[in-house]
Amino acid sequence: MKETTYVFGKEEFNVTFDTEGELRKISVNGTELKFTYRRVQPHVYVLFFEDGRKKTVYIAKDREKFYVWMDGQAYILSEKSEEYSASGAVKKEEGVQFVTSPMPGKVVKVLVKPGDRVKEGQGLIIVESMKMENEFTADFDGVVKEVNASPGEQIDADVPLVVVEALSREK
Amino acid sequence: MAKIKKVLVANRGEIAVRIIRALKELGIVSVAVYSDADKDALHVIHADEVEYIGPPEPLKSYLDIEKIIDAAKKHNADAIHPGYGFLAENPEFAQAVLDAGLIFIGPKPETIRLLGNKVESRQKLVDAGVPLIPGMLATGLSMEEYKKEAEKIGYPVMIKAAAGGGGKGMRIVYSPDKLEAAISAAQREAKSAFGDESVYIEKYIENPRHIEIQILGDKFGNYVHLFERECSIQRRHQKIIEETPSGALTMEKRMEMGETAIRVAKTVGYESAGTVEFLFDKHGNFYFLEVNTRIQVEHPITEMVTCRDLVKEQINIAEGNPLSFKQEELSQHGHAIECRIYAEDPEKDFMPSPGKIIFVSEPAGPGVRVDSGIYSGVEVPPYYDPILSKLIVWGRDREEARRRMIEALKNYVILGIKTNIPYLIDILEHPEFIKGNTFTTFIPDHMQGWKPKSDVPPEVFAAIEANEETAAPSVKITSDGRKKVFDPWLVVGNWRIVK
Repeated sequence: MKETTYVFGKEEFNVTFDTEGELRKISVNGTELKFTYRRVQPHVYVLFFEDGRKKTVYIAKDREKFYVWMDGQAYILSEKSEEYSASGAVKKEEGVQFVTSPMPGKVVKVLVKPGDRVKEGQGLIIVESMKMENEFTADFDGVVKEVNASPGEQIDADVPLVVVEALSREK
Repeated sequence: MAKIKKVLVANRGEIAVRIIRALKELGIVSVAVYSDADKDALHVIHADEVEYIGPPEPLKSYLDIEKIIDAAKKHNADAIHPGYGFLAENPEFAQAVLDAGLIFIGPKPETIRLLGNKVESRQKLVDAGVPLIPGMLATGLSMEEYKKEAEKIGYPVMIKAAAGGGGKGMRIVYSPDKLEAAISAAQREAKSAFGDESVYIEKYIENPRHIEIQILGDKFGNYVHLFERECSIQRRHQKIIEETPSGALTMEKRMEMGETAIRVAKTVGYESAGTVEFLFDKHGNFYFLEVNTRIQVEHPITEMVTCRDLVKEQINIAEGNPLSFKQEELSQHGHAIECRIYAEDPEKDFMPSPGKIIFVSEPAGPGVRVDSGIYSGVEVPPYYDPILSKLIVWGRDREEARRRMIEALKNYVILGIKTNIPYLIDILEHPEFIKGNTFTTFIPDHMQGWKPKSDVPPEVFAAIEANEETAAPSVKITSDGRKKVFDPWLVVGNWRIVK
């Protein structure tokens, strides 16, 4: 039996998966389903459930994220891991914020430098992508530990640009 | 008359692909241009010839007039089609194309220049009897003068700060006895917000709809209109859903607006395809906003209901031929809706969502048209407008078109990046949209705080586990002790042919 915890937004789903002959058994937070499936082409699965229902689900996995499309709804999930939170944007380390852009872009402005004290909600860095500017802000009161970007620089997604350490942690 | 044999398309994305399709149908050779970010873009794949024009930043490639004209000359193109956006409404570009001895597929440079100057063009059109939103730009009047002006415009009126923006200093006044207090309050607010207390009065448009008229003009002074498009569903002035016909128009009103649009075209001597935009109020009054001097993003819905190809007609006009049809040959047939598919995250304030599209499956079926700039495996670059494609449907009536659109959206699978598709479905299913109560305030009125469905059905996890199992090593011992060998074709995964 395979046990996995998946993360969608802030929600967690405990999933067990088992094989019983041709049948697959899945339990999601206690809800059980039995099914068989066909992979009709890459990324396209047809699932046949024991109660007679059928679903066509589109799925792709890329860099630890699952992209799923079902009935016109898009779901992006990931497996729960210690290091990354659901969004992948902020490393989960108590009292440390790793500011990353969820998409590639260009640094417009860096608003802080190492050693700066910042307040919760204060702007740290502005990144431009697709003709839109996004300002990333501090999650808590803290001190800027690292700045790894400069104005005009092209940046990749999910690379830490600014690191902020919480004040409470510093002492 | 000059038969066009080769056209350079000075654009990218879905509109470049759309134009290349029209060129191929006409037997005209197409030349695409591309930046470093678009080496594998769909318009490059479709074009007969291609030319590299520089780095990803638009200023160094798609907006570089010299590079684009050099590319056209190098390939011996005899015309340039600008598409929409980028250089499409830049009079210097249109002039530079002509100066290079090439044909510009669009209006004359002086027309683009005049209509780009909103103040000058409005004055010219008022003189020709085109209705503008009643109001006045004179500020610093006495209270008596404001009262007289408001009386003349007719209530309700809107008081606006001259230095304005962001709703500061704005007041709606429904009756004369409230005017004085509202002006004083607006002046105080304007003073504190902008350091300038000047305010002016404008007619307040109740239940405004954005309704625009498609026009065509040739070099011989012939003009036609191809009826209206209603584009009231806008988010921050960005249209996202368009439809035609508009449920708000009677045939009489439609023809009146069409004739007004033609008057605009005649006044400026308009050539090629253009769009005259109006604001339409609940009393049936309409007011001129501006003219878009290009092929419009939402042109396909007009094509669907009039059975005419606007891009091909642009080329016909540019060749110096008269319009290929007359006003009385045109009619509207059925109902068409367009949804713009954007790479953006509706959950996170519509933040752009570029990246690799792992898999695309486009909808199909009767009355479904996809004008797309993407394919499975393509990278959506972060440098340009986030429009990925346009989904257009045709139906016998509005309800058939609406239902067809919802089904088509549900079958428009895009994996790898976030799109606004779930958001579009929810708009189309909204009771006020169904009733046709589509005002420009629709998004703030009904979609504020929109959230996608947050529960994940268990079937989603069933698919994830099926996918994980398929990707896993191939031999398994099943519970009845038999070896289960997976079909190797099920486990090869996401292979594709590379160059």
